Formats: sequence, structure tokens, C-alpha cells
Amino acid sequence: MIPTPAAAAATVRRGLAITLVALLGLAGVYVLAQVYTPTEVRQGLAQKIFYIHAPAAWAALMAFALVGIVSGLYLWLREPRLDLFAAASAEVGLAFSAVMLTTGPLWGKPVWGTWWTWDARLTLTLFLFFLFVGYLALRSALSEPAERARFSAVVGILGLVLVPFVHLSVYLFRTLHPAPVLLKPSAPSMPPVMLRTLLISIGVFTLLYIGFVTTRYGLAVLAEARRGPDGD
Amino acid sequence: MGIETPQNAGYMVAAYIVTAVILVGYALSLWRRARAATRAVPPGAE
Amino acid sequence: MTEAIRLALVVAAKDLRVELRSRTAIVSAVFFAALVLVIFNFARDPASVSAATLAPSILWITFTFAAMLTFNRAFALERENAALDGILLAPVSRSALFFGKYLGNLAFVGAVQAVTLPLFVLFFNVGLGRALPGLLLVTVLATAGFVAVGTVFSAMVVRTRFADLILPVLLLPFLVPPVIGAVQVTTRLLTGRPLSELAGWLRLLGVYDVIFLTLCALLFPAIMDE
Repeated sequence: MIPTPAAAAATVRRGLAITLVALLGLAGVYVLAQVYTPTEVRQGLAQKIFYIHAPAAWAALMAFALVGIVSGLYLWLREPRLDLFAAASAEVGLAFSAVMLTTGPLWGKPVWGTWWTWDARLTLTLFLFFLFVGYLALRSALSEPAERARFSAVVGILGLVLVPFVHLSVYLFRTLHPAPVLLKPSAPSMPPVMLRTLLISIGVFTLLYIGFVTTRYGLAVLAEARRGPDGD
Repeated sequence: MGIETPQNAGYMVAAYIVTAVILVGYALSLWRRARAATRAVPPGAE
Repeated sequence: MTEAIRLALVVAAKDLRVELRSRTAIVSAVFFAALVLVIFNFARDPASVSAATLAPSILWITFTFAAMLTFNRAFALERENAALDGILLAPVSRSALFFGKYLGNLAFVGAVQAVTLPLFVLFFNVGLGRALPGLLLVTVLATAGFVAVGTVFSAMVVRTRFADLILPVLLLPFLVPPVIGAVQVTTRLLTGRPLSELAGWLRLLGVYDVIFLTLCALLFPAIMDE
């Protein structure tokens, strides 16, 4: 049941408001990371990229998981709004993946000496990006809404199941062919002040995801509501 | 003690800028799409 | 249940019969594979990179690209003749249709692999010998999984305008785990390692196959819905 255009427009406005708050939070994180967080001695200032890269990865992964899970729900319940949400999450996930893919090498070059390594994490980054692109490409090639929803859902589910296999394959590969590592990135035992910055950043990115997805979902529902049951 | 901290601020600045461009850019694109959509139908009307 | 199996075999047999009559897909795939092997041979510097190092990767790249060529064939033919609607009207499980298509695709890909492997041995002077049974095993294990996903995806993209472009974009991520495993196992087999050492990889391939084959069989009906 698609809501009325007025309700959908309200969703869009709410989403934009959350996004604005989150972007302000992002600015705050920038300041926090630059000014109030100490510089890591061995890695230098480049280590601070971590406070952006890791939360972006978290958001992309969350977006992807939701695409898969909501796709499954759609195939089960056949509620069109679930499909619209999955598509919104995919687009937002693509944005966060782009952040991951750009900040990753920018962090890797100064810290590990190489722009790219085929380790489990970076490879997964690349995969999420390709899966998002494939999902959205397929959607744009299908015009009939019900067919598009079903097909996207299949890709979403298969993609979600693929991720652990990619991780496992790369992990197995890496244990046999360890990548050359000059310096290890921040170890899990982080000083509390760095951990605090990281956690705040993760919170802000999560809020940003919610804002983006709400807006994008609202826009999709608005378009559907406008079109009406007969589609014009 | 004897550890020399590498001077790599350039990478950090680049990463922070690119991130801001991508995320703010996406937010702006959403906002523009929202404006185009809600201008077509005045709020409250149907 | 036996009705479903019978239908699957009928669909597969029909596909094979149609292809045997025209032979276009298999011939293209085989020529493509031969071409790839030739190009790779000239693309490398024999002094710096030995054939043995590159050979497994080249073999598997050839296998997968040739396989992708054959996938769209299965559904394109029927779409042109709107024959799918006839099959769908039949009161039979859509999963049976999936298995029929899947078996047909497996047979095609297997045929292409069967021709490519001797060419590979010929061009790269690779001694198969004792590695052959292991090689056959890993080929079956690696192929079974991604052919399932390829069958599902080609059923979807055949209805789009840019099917040949979208299929690789969708399918390639799914090819990576089986191909990584296959290349690792092939490399070790060709250097004489025993199969027992490769249990981890083979298990990963096996699990991949079971999970994706099951998932694809379950999801295929959603694609055929009206």
C-alpha cells in the first residue's frame, strides 16, 4: 500500500532534516579528529583517515546487509515499499562505498607503502562496490515495477550470501600469500581517546545513512504515489 | 623515543576533502531531487 | 518428484538438441577459448614469466569467459520464439525448469572445457599426468556453482536491452570465489601436490556449490512469475 503523496513528501522532508543534522555532525567529527585527537606516532597524520574510512565501511556494509535482508522480505511479503527501500539502501550504499574506495588507498599508500593490497578488507570493499553497481544497473534496465522488484530482490539476496564467500576465499588466499605489510594499521587496543572519536564518527555515519535512506526512500515512494495505481 | 613520525598530512587532507565532496554532493543531489519533486505538486494538495 | 526430474531432463535434452543442430554457441565459445590461449601465449615474456606460473590463471580465465558466452544463449532462443510462455503454462514446477536449464548449461560449459583443456596442454606444454583426476574434480566443483548463478542471471537479463553488457557486470563478482579456489588448486596440482593438501579449498568450493545451487533453485520461480 503506497502512502499518499503528502505523506511521502513529509518523509522526504524528515529525511532531509536528519541528513542536515548528520552532516553537521560530520563537520563536528572532522574537528574532533583533527583538533582533539592525538596523532598516532608511527603512522602520522594519515592515520586519521581511519576515523572516516572505517565508519564509511560500516555504513556501506550495513546498507548492503539491509538490501539483502529487505530483498528477502520483499520476495516473501511482496510489499512494494520493501523493494523501494532496498533500492534506496543500494544507492546510499554506493555513495558510502565510493568513500571507502577512495579513502582506503589514500590511507594505504602512506601507511602500507602501496595504494592497494588484495587483503580481505579492501577486496571486500571492491566487491560491495561492484555488487551495488550491478544491482542498480539491473534496476535501471528494467521498467516494469513488479518485475524490477522481483529481479532486484534475487540479486540482493544472492549478493548478500556471496559476501562471506568472498571474505573466506581472500582470507584463505592471504594465509598462503601474506601481503607485504610495512606498518600495521591501528591495533584493536586503541587508546580511549581515539576509540571515542571512532565511536562518535560511527554514530554520525549511521545517522547519515538513516538520513540519506529516508530521503531516498521518500523520493521513491513519492514518485510511486504520484503515478497512481494505473501508472501514468 | 627514536620513532620518526612520517609527514603525510597531504593524504589525510585529500581523504577528508574527497569524503566531504562525495557525501555533501550526494546530499545536495537528494535535496535537488526533492525540490523538483515537491515543486511539481504543492504540499497539502493532491 | 519423478515428474519434475523427467521435465528437467526433457528441457535439458531439448536445449542440447537445438544447439547440436545449429552449433553456433559451442563453436563460438571454442574458437574464443583458442584465441584467448594464443593471445596469452604471446602476451607474456617467456624469459621472465614461466608458463607454469601463469598457466592455471590463464586456463581459468579462458574457462570463465567462454562460459559467459554460452549463458545468454539458453534463454535468448526461447525469448525470440516466445516459447517460454508455453513452458510456463505447463503445470510443472518452475524449479524443474531451472534444473533443466542448469543441466543444459552445465553440458555446454563442460563441452567447451573439454575442448579447451587439450588445447591448453598443447599450447602451454603442461604435463597433466597424475594431476588429471584432481583437475577434473576441481573443474566440476568450481563450475557447478557459478553455472547455477549464471543460469538465474541470464534468465533475468534476457528481458533487458543490454543483456550482453549487464550479465558480466552482475555475474563476475560471483565468479571470484570459485575461480580463486580453482586457480589455487590447479596451481598446486600442476606442481605435483597431493589432493589431500587442498582439502580446505575443495571444501570451500563444495560449500559454495551446495549453497548457491539450492538458493538459485529456490529463487528461480520468482523470476518466472507472471
